[in-house]
Amino acid sequence: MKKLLVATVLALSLGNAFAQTFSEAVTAVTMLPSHTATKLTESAIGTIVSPFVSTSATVQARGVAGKEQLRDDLAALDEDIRSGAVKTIVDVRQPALKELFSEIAESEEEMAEINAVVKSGSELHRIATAVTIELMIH
Amino acid sequence: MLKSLSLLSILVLSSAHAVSVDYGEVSAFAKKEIQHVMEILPAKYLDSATGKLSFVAANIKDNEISSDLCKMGPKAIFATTKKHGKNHTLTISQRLLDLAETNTTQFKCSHKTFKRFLTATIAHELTHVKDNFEHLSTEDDFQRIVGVRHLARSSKKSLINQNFSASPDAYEFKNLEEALAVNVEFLLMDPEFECRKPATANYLSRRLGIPLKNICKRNYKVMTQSAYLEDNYLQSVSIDPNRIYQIHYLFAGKGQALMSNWGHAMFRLVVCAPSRKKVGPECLDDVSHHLTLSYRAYMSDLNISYVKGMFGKYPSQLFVFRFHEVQQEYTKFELRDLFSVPLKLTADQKKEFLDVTLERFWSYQGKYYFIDNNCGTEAKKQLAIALSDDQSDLIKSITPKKMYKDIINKKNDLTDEQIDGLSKDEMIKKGYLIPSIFADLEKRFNELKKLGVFPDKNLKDFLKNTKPEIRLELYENFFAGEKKLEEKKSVVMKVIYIERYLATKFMLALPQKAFAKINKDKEIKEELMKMSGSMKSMFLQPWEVVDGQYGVPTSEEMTELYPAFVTQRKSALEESLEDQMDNLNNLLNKQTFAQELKDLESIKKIKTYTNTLFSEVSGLQ
Repeated sequence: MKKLLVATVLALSLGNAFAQTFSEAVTAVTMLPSHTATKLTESAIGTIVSPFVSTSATVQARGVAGKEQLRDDLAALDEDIRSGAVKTIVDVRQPALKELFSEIAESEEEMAEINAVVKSGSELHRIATAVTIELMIH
Repeated sequence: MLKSLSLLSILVLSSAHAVSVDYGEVSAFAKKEIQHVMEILPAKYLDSATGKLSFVAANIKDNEISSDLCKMGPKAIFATTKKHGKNHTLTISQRLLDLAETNTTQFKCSHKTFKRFLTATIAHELTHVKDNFEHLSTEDDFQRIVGVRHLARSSKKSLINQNFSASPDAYEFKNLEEALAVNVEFLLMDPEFECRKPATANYLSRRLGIPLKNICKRNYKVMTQSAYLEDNYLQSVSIDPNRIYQIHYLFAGKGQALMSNWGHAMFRLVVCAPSRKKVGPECLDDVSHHLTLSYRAYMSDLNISYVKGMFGKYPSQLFVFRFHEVQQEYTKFELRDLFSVPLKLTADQKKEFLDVTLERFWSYQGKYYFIDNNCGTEAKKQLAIALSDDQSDLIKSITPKKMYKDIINKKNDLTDEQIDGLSKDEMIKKGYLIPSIFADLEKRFNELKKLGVFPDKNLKDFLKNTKPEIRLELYENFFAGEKKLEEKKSVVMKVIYIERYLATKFMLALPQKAFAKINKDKEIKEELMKMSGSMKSMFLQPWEVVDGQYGVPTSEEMTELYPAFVTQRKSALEESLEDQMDNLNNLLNKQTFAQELKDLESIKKIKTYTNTLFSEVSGLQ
């Protein structure tokens, strides 16, 4: 009993250090309710139907976190394209987007679908537009 | 003298340390069974043993032994081995011998028949004799594979892994010597053992000279776990070594928002996309297929107890996440840098590491202790199994940060890459560093500030003081003026980026705020308990998702059981998410959370507003 008490006091006296170390272990679990919470804001979107059926499936296969990563990367890609630093898929600096764009570019079905809707611009521009629309509305 | 000599047969005549076997008064059946076990064990199995090995048949708590092999009580004892100096006496239960001789029933558990069970029991006891001379159960790698808190010198030390549900025989968890004996039993008797416990089987086969049977079909699949219920366990991925280009040490360092120097130690598997014909450096681009292995405390309730964590009350388990999920968790939610260092491993080392991964994922449940059985110690133990002793000695520390330093130290030769001394930009360019998004946030904040969108001095002040209803006003004011389409487009993307971060930050803080009030408000406590209950039903262990016989499910079990789980899970998911949303809405509607509810409404308005702007600048309207 005494041993237990000493250890508890030790743990409490170290306070923040333990809390910090502990947080390393529990993040995944504590995120769960937060994710449910994020759904609370989703009623604000989803008003547009995606015209890209195949591309949509490719994007959705990335899972929730994968799509979040893609969405986060879009701002930097937008800046890169705007500044002229990136002109082709090979140049794309965001690994998740580069992988997705390459996958789409290799699919004849997806490219045909995109070309039917986005009629101008380079291959990168057309794919990026389709992916941006897909990610922003879903 | 002559009579007693005739009772002794010399087991190993050629060895200088031969053990002599005395069958004493055991029956002809028992003697035949013992000799059968000697034959199926490697010829030199007891080479190291000396002295006399005597066999005895006797009543050892025989009334505890059921005639149903699958209904054995915990008190049943089938055989014992006693050591007297260099001599050993192996006593076999007379009841077990009788059942083995007369009961031919086929059972669905354990070793299937009493006769096979007797064979296994004798092999088990002979392994104890071998262990007494060779101390196999205290070898470092054996201990690491079966799961210990600290490497021990005593074979009586208990195991930290206590996952009864995924074990062929929970007696293996009693201590190291039983772990050795039970696993040898199954290696010898069960052709599926090498598929179900591949790391243990390979280690014991190599060490004891018991050949693998190569009959069973390996299953390399694991399910990806996720903090997002929609993704948790709903996809399986193969970690076949032939499809994995590299294994990286993945380390989450400190970031802008973190005071800790501890960090988090993980591994990254560079899995090649299924479409790739060749496994090579191109697989580094297949980021959506990369996986993260992370040892964490497993908690199925929402109320986290530090004291429980201190005293090992939470299980320590190996989680498999998609890499992007971990990237989001650290670089975005916690604003921390991630370091990804390719480990220099031979093909055999890579295979061994992945075998341990499979075994750990499907059957390991240790205990998480803040101080000495945490992500760092667990990661180090797993890596040490694959590395040679000399290599693992080079990783001296158990803290994730120091492990990182040991790995990138050029002298240690644990990575082929020259990382030490590289600038941050070079590390990012070469993919060794995935930086926190703080710099990106700051850059976009400053650009928007320059354009007059935000009046705040700097990002830190902005993050601390910003209110959603004020931001909505700022955005509306900014976009109300005449703007060129290109400028509008550029600003909209930046605003969306910042708002996505702020919305996440707000949402992540909500549960913490609720928990802070759990003991002050009965209604809040009730809602949280309801929420916890609803979520608990969605928390599962890998061995509950695919409930195979034990260990890694076989290919057949995976094919049969996993699709059924996915179908059932998808329908249950909808309901669980709805319940949680209701709970959360109920919470937010309480007076205590009036401000949070107001903020949430403003966040929603911002989202609608930016969505409209985005549609407008994209030509969607």
